[in-house]
Amino acid sequence: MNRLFDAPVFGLSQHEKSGLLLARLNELTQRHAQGCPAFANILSAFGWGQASTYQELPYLAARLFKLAQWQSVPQEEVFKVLTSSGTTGTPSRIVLDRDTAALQSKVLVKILQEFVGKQRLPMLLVEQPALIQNRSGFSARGAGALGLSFLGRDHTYALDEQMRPNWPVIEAFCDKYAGQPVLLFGFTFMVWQCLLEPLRERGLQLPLTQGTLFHSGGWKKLQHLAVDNPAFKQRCHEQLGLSRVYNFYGMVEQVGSVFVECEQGHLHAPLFADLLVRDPLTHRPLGIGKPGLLQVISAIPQSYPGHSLLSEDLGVLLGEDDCPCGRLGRYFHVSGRQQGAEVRGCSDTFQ
Amino acid sequence: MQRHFPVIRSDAEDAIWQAGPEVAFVAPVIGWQGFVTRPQPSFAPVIGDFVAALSARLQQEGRENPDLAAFGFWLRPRQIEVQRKRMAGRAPLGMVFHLVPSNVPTVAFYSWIMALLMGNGSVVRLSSRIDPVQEAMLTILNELFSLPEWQEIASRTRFIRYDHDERVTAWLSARCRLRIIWGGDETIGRVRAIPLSPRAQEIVFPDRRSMAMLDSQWLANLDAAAWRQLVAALQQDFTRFNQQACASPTTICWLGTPDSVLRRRLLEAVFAPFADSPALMMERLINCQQNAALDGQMQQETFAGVTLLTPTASLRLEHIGGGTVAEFVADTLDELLLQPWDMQTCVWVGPDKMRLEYALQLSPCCRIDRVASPGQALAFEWLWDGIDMLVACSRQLTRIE
Repeated sequence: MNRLFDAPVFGLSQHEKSGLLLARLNELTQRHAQGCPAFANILSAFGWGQASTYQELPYLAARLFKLAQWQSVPQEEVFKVLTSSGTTGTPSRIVLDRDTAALQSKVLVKILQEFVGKQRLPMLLVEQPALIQNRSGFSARGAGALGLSFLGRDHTYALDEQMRPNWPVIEAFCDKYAGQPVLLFGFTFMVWQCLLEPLRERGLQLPLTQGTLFHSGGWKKLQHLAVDNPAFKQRCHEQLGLSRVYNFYGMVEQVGSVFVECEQGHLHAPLFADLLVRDPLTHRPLGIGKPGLLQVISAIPQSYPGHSLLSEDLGVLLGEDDCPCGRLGRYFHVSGRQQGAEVRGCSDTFQ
Repeated sequence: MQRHFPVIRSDAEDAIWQAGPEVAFVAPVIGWQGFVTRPQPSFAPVIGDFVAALSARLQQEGRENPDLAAFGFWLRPRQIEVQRKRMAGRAPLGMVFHLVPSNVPTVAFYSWIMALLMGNGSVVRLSSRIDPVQEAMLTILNELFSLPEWQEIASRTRFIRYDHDERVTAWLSARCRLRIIWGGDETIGRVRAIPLSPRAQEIVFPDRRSMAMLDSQWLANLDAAAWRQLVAALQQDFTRFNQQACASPTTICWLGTPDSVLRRRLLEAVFAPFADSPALMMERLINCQQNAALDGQMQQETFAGVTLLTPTASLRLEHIGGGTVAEFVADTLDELLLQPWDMQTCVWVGPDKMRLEYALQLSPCCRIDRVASPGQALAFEWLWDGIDMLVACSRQLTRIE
């Protein structure tokens, strides 16, 4: 694990990286088999064991975390339970122990420093302050903001409790840091709905010309408003003054895998995480250029068997070690979500 | 001596209903106003005529809505006449309150028709999930309910929707004479906690599963035409409604070890409708992993469209459907029937269905309520889970010999 932290985040070739990562992932498989009998049963029924390639890694369906709680640590070691902020259906529950939570913060900082440097910058979070203060009801949104908050200083929450722009606070932040390097963070839809739109309605522009925005959370809600990535960037430039806007991809079910979009618009796998694409009809691995389901792998989850997950997100592997941005490793594109099936038994008279 | 009965009773009751709970009315699209709880005689002529008209109208749906067309065919007048004779001497109960599931959209109408034929009015609570087949049926019913000749039916029918609100369920439960709860088990438990009127009866249909028994030897000797016919029939049984219906088999038992080529050929052919669905492939992975989490020794095999699991600890898989199927092999029928099966339907794929039906009478530990021929698993029948629906929706008058 230490070797992983010492190596450059985007500087190892896929060959070197996958060797390091596989050793760690096999270690995690073994750890979870010992700590989580249900996972051990799945390994045995699927004939899974130690892997010599990514393709041989065991994987759980990411949706299983909505259906049951999976953990490989005793209850007394549970430090916090993340829940997904999904608007539909049951939330996922992700069990973290202290070590895993610490690792998560550490890798998040390491990854994002690659984009903003090591200096801790003043930070504007497009969030409501209550979210962070209320630590018992941890949503993934709060955790994301919290994990990221290590990167900044003078944390300022741009929204009030009702998710409306807190104008005096925003104004004070801009007065203090106009034209200086600052960090902004928010969920894509919230940045749009709770900041960019209110600014437009008021005809306001913020002077954050040296700022960097990280945003994540999917485009589904914005698709309804016909907003795509270029349009989003354009509006950030017009209304916030930002020229550096980074989308990133990740899911609450897998801590540690944060894939940030580069200047070319490609999502990059950092040292601690990687990505495979599988055929949606057969779940067999696919190569570069073939669209399919994304399987995400991460070196971080120690407290629950989530180091290798088959998601229901669709995407395509674009290449390895050869992105024009210069970052090594795999890079890819996410295109959307696979449609769910209506598979329900009789148990739903009351739905 | 008093020579007149007091009147008013029905007026008072109508007034109570007009102040009934707030719900959405989907067929007919009116309020509680005009709702009549007084029954008609069982199989009253207007009921027979209405069901005949509905049957004819549904059969026009043909290819567009094969489920409705099949339902219409089943309700054809000749069938109804047989039931009318069978139910001679029986009388209605009163208002029937139905709580129906969303997994099979036509069950709501089946349940309603059973109550209607016996003369009862109905309040049918539909799930909030909008289903195209159900919507098509409601449109047809509203067409018919708008005609003057069917007002006696329309005034005794309310298809409604409301959110999970126990007060509404309680209000209706206190005023019905029969409550029919279609599962699952959790819903039954919840609704059962809500008191019924002391005069009301209750029927429940809990979660059930179904199976198919396949005679390996018989299958091996089928000619090409019979094979094609069988595959089409089994496709209907196994894959309609994404295998969600209780009557769709989710367990397969081979009588005699099947040849591995034949087994694969049959399963891939039957489950072909699932083979091009990525969503169902994901469902199978999830079901499979959930089952495996409970049983590490479980055997599994995956073909296009179907995942076969053989649990080692139980006859029953916790998570099924969408092409996730439990599979067993037995040498003889006797051996198979020693197992404590609890099945609503068994599709018999072999030479002699009667053989199984006879054997079941001698196997009290094994509960299989119904034996169906291939293609008939999902067909509506007058018995459901071994309950005679028309009998359950009525009472027996003293026989006049």
